[in-house]
Amino acid sequence: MTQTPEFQGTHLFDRLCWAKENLDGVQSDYRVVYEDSIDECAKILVPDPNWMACALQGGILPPVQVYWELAKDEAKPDFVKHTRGHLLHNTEPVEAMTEEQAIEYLIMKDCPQHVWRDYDSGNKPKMVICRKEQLPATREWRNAWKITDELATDETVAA
Amino acid sequence: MALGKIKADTLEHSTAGSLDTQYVVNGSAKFFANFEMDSTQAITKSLNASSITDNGTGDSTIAVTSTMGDANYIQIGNTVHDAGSYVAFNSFDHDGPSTTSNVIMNCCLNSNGSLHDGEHQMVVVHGDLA
Repeated sequence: MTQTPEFQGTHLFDRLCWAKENLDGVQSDYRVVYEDSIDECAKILVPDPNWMACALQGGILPPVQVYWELAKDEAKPDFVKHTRGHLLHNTEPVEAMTEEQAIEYLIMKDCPQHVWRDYDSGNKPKMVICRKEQLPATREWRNAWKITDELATDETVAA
Repeated sequence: MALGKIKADTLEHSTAGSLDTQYVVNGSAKFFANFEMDSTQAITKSLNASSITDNGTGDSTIAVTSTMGDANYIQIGNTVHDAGSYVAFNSFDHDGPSTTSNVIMNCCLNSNGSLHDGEHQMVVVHGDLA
């Protein structure tokens, strides 16, 4: 297995360039289906293969909390540009994850916090992790897709 | 890079002249992605992306791993001309623009501007990293 160099303090972009050159992409079968707003259709998040390779390798990606800090900065009304980018580069990288742990990390990075923080507190789940084959086979009526009310592990999750 | 570092402000060619390395650093793409939009969406080639989100017909968000420094970066997109079927173009949503961590891509039909699931999508981002 390829050994990850000691990356703490190395610019995150440089780490990603190293990973692209040295690691094979991993196309995950997992998909995250979530409903951001009741007025909108279900959204479907798909991991990037190079990113998944970094997550499985370990020692490359920063802790997900770093992204939350940057998101807080950007949400301020007087935000112009990031001044705490060093958090991405200087915080100790996270260890290797399993594919399932990587999906959890990705949800906390790329899905809106109001979706994943209480995804299961309403009348039905606002978010579901499923496999690619559980999604509808075609994109017919794509803008009307919602998470199905009756979830079972062997059924389609959006319709 | 952890494997070695050359520090230089200028590159000089024997006959063609010299170039400040800031042009190389500032002019290189900081993000790119090539993905399909008309099926179960998935990224086929990328740099600095963490995921793609299918927001609905003709509307995708690609998340950035090494965050951009500000949201005023340059986003260049390209999509499909399928002769006899449709011609499409890329744009971004005025009411939901890209952020430092999300590149938002809309694919619209040339004929009427409505959102459309174009077969192939390509996007490149130039700008400063955080």
